[in-house]
Amino acid sequence: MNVVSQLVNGLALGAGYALLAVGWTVLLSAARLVNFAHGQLYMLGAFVTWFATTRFGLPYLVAIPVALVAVAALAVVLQLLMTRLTLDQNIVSLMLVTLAFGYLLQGGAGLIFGGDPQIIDSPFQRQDLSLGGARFTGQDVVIIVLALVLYAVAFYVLGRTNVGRMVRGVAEDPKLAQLYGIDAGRVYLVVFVFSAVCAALAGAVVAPRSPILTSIGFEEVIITFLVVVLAGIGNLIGGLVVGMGLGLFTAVFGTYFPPAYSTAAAFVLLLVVLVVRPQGLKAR
Amino acid sequence: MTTADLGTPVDAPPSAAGNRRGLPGAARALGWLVLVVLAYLLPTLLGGSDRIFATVVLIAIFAMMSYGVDIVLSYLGEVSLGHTLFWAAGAYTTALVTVNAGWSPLPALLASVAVTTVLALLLGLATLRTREFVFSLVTYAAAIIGLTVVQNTGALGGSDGIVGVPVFELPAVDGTYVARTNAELWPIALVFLVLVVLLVARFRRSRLGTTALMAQMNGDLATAMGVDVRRTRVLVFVLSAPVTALAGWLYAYQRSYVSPDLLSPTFLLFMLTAVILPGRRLLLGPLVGAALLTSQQQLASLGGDADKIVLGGVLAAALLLSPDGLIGIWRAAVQRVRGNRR
Amino acid sequence: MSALLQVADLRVGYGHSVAVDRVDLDVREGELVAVAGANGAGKSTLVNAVAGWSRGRPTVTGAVRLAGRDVVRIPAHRRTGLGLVLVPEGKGVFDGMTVDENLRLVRPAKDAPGRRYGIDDVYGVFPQLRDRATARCSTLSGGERQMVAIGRALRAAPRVLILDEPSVGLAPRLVMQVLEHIRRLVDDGLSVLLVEQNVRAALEVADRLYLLDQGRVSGSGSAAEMRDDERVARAYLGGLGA
Repeated sequence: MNVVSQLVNGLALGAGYALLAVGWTVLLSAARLVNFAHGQLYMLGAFVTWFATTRFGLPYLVAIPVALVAVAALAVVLQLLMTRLTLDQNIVSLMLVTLAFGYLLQGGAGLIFGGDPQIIDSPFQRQDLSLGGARFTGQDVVIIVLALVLYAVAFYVLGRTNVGRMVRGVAEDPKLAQLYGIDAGRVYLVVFVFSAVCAALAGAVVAPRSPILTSIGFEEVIITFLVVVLAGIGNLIGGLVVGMGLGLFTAVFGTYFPPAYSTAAAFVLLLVVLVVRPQGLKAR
Repeated sequence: MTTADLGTPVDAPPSAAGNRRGLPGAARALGWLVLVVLAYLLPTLLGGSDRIFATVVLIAIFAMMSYGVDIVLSYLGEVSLGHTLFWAAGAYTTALVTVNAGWSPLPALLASVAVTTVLALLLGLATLRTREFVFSLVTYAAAIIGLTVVQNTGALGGSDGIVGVPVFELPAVDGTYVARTNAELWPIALVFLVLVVLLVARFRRSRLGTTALMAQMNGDLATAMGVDVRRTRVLVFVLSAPVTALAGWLYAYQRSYVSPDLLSPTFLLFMLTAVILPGRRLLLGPLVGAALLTSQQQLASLGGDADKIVLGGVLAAALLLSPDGLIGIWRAAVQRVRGNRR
Repeated sequence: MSALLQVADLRVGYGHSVAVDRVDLDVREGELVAVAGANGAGKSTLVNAVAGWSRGRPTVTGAVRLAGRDVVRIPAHRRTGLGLVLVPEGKGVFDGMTVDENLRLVRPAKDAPGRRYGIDDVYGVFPQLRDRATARCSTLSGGERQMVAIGRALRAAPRVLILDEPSVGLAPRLVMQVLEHIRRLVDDGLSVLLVEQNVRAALEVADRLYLLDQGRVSGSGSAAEMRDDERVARAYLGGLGA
């Protein structure tokens, strides 16, 4: 395999990782919240898309918004259940509750969607493109563009708008935010739903590259954790860079070693980073 | 057994705990002994079918598995999501040395404990300086990556696992004690369960246990009082791992095979729920939790996916409705009754 | 004339302990009312409860009426919107944001009845903040941070501004400077409830004073009356002012 094709491969892979991580990064940086059900929301995004295309015969591009709305509605319910824990900033309970939600969602998805692997039929997946000898699909392009757009939007909204300032204020001190007239509970709800929709979107566009199972959420979320911890907690731009870097690493690693071990290799890398720089790669 | 025994939090003043019912130490020890004998007879009293024996053996094994998480979650206040790694390490080490090298159970146990301790030490030291929930993220990642590695490593049997773990045999006075059935495995499981409960009871009263609790309640204060919080954290983490590995060791014999499903979220959720559902920091809490969950799964299973909903739902409901678990509901009820009487 | 802010029979407790007990207090339009008392007298608990704000979970009973409307069941963020605005003791600004961002973060409700302060109006009140507009609040001095905290409170179009020990931790020279700033705002028509541990300084600027002792009002009166009160002089002014 030549260098260009490895590069393209890695970028497409990495953009997928970054896309999966963007919601989590915003949740963490903006609200100091964690969500261990993130992977299951990704899984649901993929499966609702699949369900809408196969059962209702909707075109792929119509099925995606359906999946996003479904997951958003679910996220509203989950966050309303957790409102008190979030306002108390009870991170330990939040981790455990979201972990439980994730497991519950996986069981529910198993009942609804069955245990067989499925394939999301995306028209972009059938478009074969090539560039300088590298072969890739239209889906890869969609993923890269979407990742860049989402990070740009998140960066702009958080940094430059009043909504972003409110979110950052709540992240720094939810109690103090109340004195600024900000309803912290509502800000948490908005951020959580945004994060969930990002996960669902990642599921809808990244998952067509390979068969999906209701258990994928469990494993997919690990990439998110690696990206988030390596980048440094809540470092948005770092998330994009590390996600892309991890994609390139995986692509290169996969050409020399069994690809099954690439995540493990990335994890060893993470452990080394943690020992040397516990705060991640973030500058400050 | 009264609820007072279940309900005494470890942070209650020791004098109050010791003289609570004015019982001398000997009487208390006798009470515990009666409890153990009753537990031993329980499956026979319940009819003695293989299904009952399998259930009680699994309760003992899963309780031991959960005690590992309990030590970290209840006393250190950290959420380890990596204990399935130790659970699997215990079981896989046992399978490897017994199937490939023909070791007997006790050397296999030592090997399991050794391997797990090293793993825990590595993970504990790597996460030594991490803040907040990064510890949980990293331990979670460790467990899931353990899963992908095990699934893809031929020497560990790949996704099929390792089959043919021999029958459990111990040297005994009249030759050997062979545990072919769950009924024959039950005394062994009970003995180790009692040992684990004694270990946890000892830990709760130990210097390390009280230090861990202090570090959890107020890390800054503990530091100011000269407690090395990081060292405490690693020590407790490393102590907890072999407890879970011990359960994995016995599980390998009970099931006679090991497979990557040991690293699945099912066991992770089980351990956490078994600790949280009865209420944290109760000596017998994980045992009660394991008994409730195992009974549901063994005797009233609704099928794989529905059981997931039950387990996830129970954990979520406990955390959202009564963070102090069942004991919290019980205490609130008792208080209400007392209040009404007044 | 009925008071703009009227606190009646207010009790605040944590668990079984009572921190504020049966307090009655009012602030009339355009008045600067000070609450003074020793450490632990319940001053902060009192004004936090008036604003509906707390870092713990206290139980609050009694009435807090703003222009006749009981707001005691209304959450803190909505009380801010109604014009009952608190600047808490200690950390009152977002350190991670610039001065300008802190001020822009607050936007008064469309129908807010209080006087509106634009960003420029705030810089008019605190001219030295204008030069620090793009500085992160974490880099400011204690006095400057207090100005930002008061400035962002003004941005919420307050009808009653509650200030909890704005002078704590400031150099003596700055204490009077901050208090005089507050007096000028009151002279412009604002109504202020001020917690001040330094009774002498409070009497310099306040119209009326309440003394709080172990959660209860132990005395109140106009600044002039309180200055002449023997007990106040002995207990709080160390006899020097007499």
